[in-house]
Amino acid sequence: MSVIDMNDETLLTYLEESREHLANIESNLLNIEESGADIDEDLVNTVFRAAHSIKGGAGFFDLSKIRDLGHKVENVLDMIRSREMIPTPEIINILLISFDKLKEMVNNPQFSNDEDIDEFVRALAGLTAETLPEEKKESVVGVVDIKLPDGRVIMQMNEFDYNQTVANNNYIYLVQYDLIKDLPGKETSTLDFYRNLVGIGTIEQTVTDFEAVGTLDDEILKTIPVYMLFSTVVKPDKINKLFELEESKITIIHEPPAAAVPETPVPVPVPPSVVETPIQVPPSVVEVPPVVAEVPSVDPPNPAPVRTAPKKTAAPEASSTLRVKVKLLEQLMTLAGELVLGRNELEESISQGDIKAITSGGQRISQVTSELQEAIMQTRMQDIGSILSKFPRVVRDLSRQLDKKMNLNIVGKEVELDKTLLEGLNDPLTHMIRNSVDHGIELPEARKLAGKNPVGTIDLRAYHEAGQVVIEIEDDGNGIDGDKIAAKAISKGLVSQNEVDSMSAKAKVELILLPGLSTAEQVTDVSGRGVGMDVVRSNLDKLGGTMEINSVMGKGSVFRIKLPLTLAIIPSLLVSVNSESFAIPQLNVEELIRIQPKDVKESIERLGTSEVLNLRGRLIPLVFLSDVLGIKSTYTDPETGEEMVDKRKQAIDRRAENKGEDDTIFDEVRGGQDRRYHAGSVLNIVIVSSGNISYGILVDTLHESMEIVVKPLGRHIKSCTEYAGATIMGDGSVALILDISGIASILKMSVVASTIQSQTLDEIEETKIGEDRQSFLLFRNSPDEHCAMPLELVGRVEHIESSSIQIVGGKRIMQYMGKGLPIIRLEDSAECNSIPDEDLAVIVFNGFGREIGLLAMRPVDFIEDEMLVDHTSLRQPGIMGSVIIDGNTTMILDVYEIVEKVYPDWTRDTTLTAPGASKANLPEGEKPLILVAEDSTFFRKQVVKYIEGMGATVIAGEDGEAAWKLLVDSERKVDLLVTDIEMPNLDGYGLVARVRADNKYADMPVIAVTSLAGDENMAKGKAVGINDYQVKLDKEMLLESIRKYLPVLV
Amino acid sequence: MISDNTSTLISTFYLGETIWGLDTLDAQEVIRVTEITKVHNAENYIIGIINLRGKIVTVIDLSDKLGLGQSVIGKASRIVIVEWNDEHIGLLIDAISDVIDIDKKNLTSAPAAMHGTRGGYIDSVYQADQKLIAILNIRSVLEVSEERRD
Repeated sequence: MSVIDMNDETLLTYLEESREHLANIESNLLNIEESGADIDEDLVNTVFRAAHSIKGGAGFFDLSKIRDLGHKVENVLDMIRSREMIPTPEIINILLISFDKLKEMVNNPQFSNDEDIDEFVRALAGLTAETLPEEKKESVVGVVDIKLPDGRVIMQMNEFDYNQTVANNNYIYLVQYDLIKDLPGKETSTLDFYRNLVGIGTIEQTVTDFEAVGTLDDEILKTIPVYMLFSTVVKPDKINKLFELEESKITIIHEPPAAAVPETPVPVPVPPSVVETPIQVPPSVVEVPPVVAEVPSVDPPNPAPVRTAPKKTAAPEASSTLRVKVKLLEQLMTLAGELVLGRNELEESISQGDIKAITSGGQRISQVTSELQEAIMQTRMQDIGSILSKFPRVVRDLSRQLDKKMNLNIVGKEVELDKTLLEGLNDPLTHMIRNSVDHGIELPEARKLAGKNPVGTIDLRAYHEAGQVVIEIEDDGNGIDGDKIAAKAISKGLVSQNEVDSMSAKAKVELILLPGLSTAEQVTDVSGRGVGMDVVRSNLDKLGGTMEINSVMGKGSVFRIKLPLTLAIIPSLLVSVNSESFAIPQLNVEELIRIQPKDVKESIERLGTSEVLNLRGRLIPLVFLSDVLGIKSTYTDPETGEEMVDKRKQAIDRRAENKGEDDTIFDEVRGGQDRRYHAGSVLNIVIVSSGNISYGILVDTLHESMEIVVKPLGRHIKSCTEYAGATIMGDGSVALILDISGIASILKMSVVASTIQSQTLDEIEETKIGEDRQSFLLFRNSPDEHCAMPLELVGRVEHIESSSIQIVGGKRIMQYMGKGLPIIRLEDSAECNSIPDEDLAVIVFNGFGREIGLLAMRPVDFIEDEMLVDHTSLRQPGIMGSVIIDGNTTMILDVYEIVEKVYPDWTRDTTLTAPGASKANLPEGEKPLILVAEDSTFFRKQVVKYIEGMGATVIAGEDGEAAWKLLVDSERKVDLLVTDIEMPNLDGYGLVARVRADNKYADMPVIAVTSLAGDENMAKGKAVGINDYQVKLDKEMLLESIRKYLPVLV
Repeated sequence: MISDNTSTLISTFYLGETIWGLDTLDAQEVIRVTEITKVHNAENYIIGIINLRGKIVTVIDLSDKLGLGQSVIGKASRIVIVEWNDEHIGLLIDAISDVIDIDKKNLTSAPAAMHGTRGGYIDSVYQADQKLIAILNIRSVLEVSEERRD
């Protein structure tokens, strides 16, 4: 009937605006649902306005189906707004699918009038009727005829809609104008005309009078009369200012009644009359509940046809255009102008041969270029939120469909990503989220049986790490059964039994990424469609991303996507080894250090088979770039191809040798057989960091820093995790970009490998999951006494002379940074040898609100490993236990105990009741009861001891489950929970989620102790309800935090 | 893959003394050996990467990949650029020979092994006047083996 001209600029503007309106509706509706009866008017208004303007525009363009649906939606929203209706999930459901339909139609307006929207209209009308008083219900299906003065019925309007309009005290006009005669002749454009109308009123409907158009036989189309039903508050005497038409063409259909006129709808005493047509449907049909039941619902018994089988609509053309901030565009314009000026200047200088001016011109252009580059890059960056924000809806719908309950927490919407990456990420992420909902989270009953909160949690996090964007999807569901996947992969012939036998649990789980493996035991229409994670992976491959899966059966899974720096331009430091250049992203570079040969011994210490740099008390592992990359250091002239090939072969050979090689800086420097350094050469170290790891890279030469364009590497080199990409240098040659975190992970593996040789493989496998890695600072108390202390506690390490220690009043003290530093020794509290006077170091740590120094013998090393701590054999005051490191029995010191022994009076203020009554006088029942959940015996004992020391009663469980049981079984109210995060069976997040879900404990403060206190973990912890984060064994801070959060004692 | 027409164009080249063929449709261009940046720790048969008009292209020692031993880059050495899975890859060869128009009737299927390499890398064999030309199955040559990092 109607003709939709897709080239009409006015229409395009309308569609564009409508898409914008629709973009945020989903999340707004979900928020409205969440608030329930507690209606957020602003929010409802926003959605209402969106529906309103979509409807209004559709009326103008004769997009009747869009208009009708928009109108119905608007009515429902209006009732919510006026609190006549409470937005229940069912209502929101109907609104959501209605908006989906609107979206679909707005995206394909040409076909919208052929769409079948009856189902939606009926559902929405049902909603409105439901809340209406009985006598008005009929109006929902009634129709009002709109007539011309001559009685001809021009259009019909739904009675309820009509009444709504009337109730808003609007005038309703029927305007007759001619598309050919009336519009183009006016000074205003159609767009302005449309804008004006929409600005002051509502276009209810438009109808083209085709009868009057004539047939094609008539010479030329002379007239296209259009009737528009327009409602506005503008009075009849003003209305023609808007239309500038002959008065006869404007008919007043309805006039708002003066002050006290009987109720609406009332035929107004104006010539064209409104006649109520008989209701077309018998009133009984209007009974509401059945109507609602007919709605495409998402309730499981009646899977919604609309939801589960969405029509494949043409992809919205959104990706072909990009929104750019005007400010940015202006900046680009300015820069383009600058560039032209620069070029002119340069051309002139060149023609004059003025070298100086050419140089300065070149500089100017270079400067403008980089600014331009930056600005252009910015236009491509978009918030990842634009794709993440659709997931609450996805999760909500799916979980309803599957009868599951879960929450989705999204963190990091503001992280910016290149547009191309963002687009490519959409599908894989959607697939993974659906997977988590479908396969990850269990049914509520199953969760209850497993002792979990029946409401599952999916965390979706995006953050920057080491120049990469990391996206994590974590669920607390059932985890992935690696063995099952392995079995399936074998049965499908994708891997062999032998291969599987040698796989770690993680590798088995990651088999899920193999093509042709779908894990769902039952193929559901949600995520099992024969294609699965392999598609996700191939999509990620295209983006240059990688995926890692960590899963623990019964606990949940974490999918971690890392997207590299592709497409980006990054500032980088250029270094070279052996005349080969490499780029290190500036983001990873902490500082550059040159060590003179004479200082090598002072600055670099040895740890096992590798070296560490003592950088202002921080111990930083060092690595030769040539070793990492297996570069043979002998300089070979790469002029001819022959040598290049040879060299490559040698490099590989060398790598093989290197495995058993124990070459150290000491050997090289002392032994004089240094391949890399000649006498007098200095060590060039780039201190790099990635995440929490810092290390030093030794290179031959440090070059300048420059901006490089990151180019992806081919598939054949993808597996080399030491490279993040490649770049093309100014001279056209190619340099590789080092991946600092990739190198770190390669190195870390080798560190672990060398330190856990003594353990059997089984033990490693056992301890891998859920076990804490612990970092210790290693030193000696006397040549034969090996000591260690938790690295977290260490502030700095200083080399000192024994003469700098004074004895004052029987206590040792040292002048340090203008203050007196109390010095303690192990022998002050434990029975051990005396520390000698030579090779001394002071380990500075914080405690009791001040800095304290522990006297130690050099060298000082550090180790990071999973440790089995023996808490009994060597236990004595000041020694909390022992551990075997590199074959030496090493005492783990309890420095706080030593301090207490030396300075007994310091300890008092950490008690709970200080400074009033002493803790000894408190009856047992008045001591606060604190629950500790911690899987490592070592840490559990320490933490319990600390807390008991402050005057509290402590109960402790070895994992989340045990702690939960203690909490539930406790006869007394537990005042506070201190929990570890990484624990087997039930981790800290799970425990807290369970605690928070139970009203009984909802107010209980929770403090998490962890060795991984990254921002993202904190954010996650806060989300599940953790009040505070503390680093393990940081006694002072922990006790301080407990005191802060402990409810006031009665 | 060899097209279905009865005749097809094959680019031939040398690896050492043996002669090989490649469907001309697979070969994008042939360039002289330029400066190659080594990629340490990569597979043996990867010589390095080059800058091909702003694109980073991995260069593979075809001879090594086929198990014929490493190539020695000489004056006649060339790099054949092929496109595979939306990626450009360079194949180092010892010398370029002719482009020949062959009759598909003269093609025989690949033997289990030929010229000392796996049959899987060979699509078919062309019997020319006096010699046999092994025509490469470029996809299987370039397939990246699924290696797991841990």
